Amino acid sequence: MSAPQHIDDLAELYALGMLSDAERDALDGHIAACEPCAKRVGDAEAVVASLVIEAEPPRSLDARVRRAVASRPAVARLGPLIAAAFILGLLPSLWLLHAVQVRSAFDDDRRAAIVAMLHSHFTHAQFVSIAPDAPRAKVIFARGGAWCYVVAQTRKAYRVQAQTAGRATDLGTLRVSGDTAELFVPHTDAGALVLLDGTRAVARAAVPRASSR
Amino acid sequence: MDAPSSAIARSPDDAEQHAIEAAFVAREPWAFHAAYDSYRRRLYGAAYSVLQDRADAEDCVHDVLVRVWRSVHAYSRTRGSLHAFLVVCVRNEALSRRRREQNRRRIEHAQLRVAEGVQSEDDPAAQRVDVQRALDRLSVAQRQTIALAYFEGLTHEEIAQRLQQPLGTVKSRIANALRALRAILQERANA
Repeated sequence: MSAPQHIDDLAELYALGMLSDAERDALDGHIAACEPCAKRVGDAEAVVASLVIEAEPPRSLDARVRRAVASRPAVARLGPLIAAAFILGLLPSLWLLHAVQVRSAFDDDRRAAIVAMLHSHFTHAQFVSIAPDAPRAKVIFARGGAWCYVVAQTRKAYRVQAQTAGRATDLGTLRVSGDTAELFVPHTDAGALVLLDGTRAVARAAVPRASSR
Repeated sequence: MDAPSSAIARSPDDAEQHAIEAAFVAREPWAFHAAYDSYRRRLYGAAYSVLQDRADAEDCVHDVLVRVWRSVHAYSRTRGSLHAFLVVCVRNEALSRRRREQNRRRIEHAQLRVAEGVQSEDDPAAQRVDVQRALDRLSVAQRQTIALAYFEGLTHEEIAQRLQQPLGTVKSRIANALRALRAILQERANA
């Protein structure tokens, strides 16, 4: 079966698992390049998912799944690269070591964020619009406010600024992804986050106070 | 302000799911584990309802999750929720396994059933009532179609044979029934 021009009723049949392997493969190829059809399949999948009755899986499944995708430290991932560099004599200068150190520091930060997000309860704050054309936006903090995830309903990138008393720090720019824009960033001791459209503030959210565990 | 898209938080849970989906696409391992923690009971329920065997359901969920994670382009956020995508992946794989093994036995009383001995923290009876109420609002023909397609897991050819209807008619009927159910669920969500 060739990739269809329009998926028509196949979206629902796909979501219900009624297509042959060949039909499903063809549809997968099509929706990978067709946003409206991908959304249509997603809508049908949401209905099918809503019909599922939950059941508690055995503990053995939990253990197998956790083993299947284990987080490996950055240094471990870079180990083979370093060994190969020695063997090939490609490590005479310190720049590579420096790069490894920078990468490790970066990954340490990422791991800290991952741990914070995964093992803490999220706290949430809604941005308050201070301009008529401000996007709908939300900021999600790992408990303690050390890491935040900013997401806005917009196809436009906005800068995010952290504000403390008398001081402003640029945290970065929202990365556009489909109909939304987002930023995942560490920050500390900010009293508020502000969305900037150029130099103009369009929305503001207060940072929740750090809470003890 | 326009109505919010599904991607924007309508509740804290939605915001968390959004964060998990973004990180899942970015291949952050924490997102894989967070997604599993959030959806594990739904995923297992989807597999078990089709396979009716704990070990088979476990293998099915495990294999699908690993395959999806290793396939870079398996999930895209333009498609919709990661949760629904994974549930459908698991269910489709379960159906394929059942069909491959020629295990065509009907899932008697499979409609909305949770197997004996399968414990759930949430009240499955409440879930069943919710789903049943939505199904009750479909026409008889639509409800019959959903029952054959979802709860019995028949192919469209098998349904056409069962109902003695042309294949094209059956395909349209299935699609229309699922869209009608979606409208009902959306209406209830917005109420």
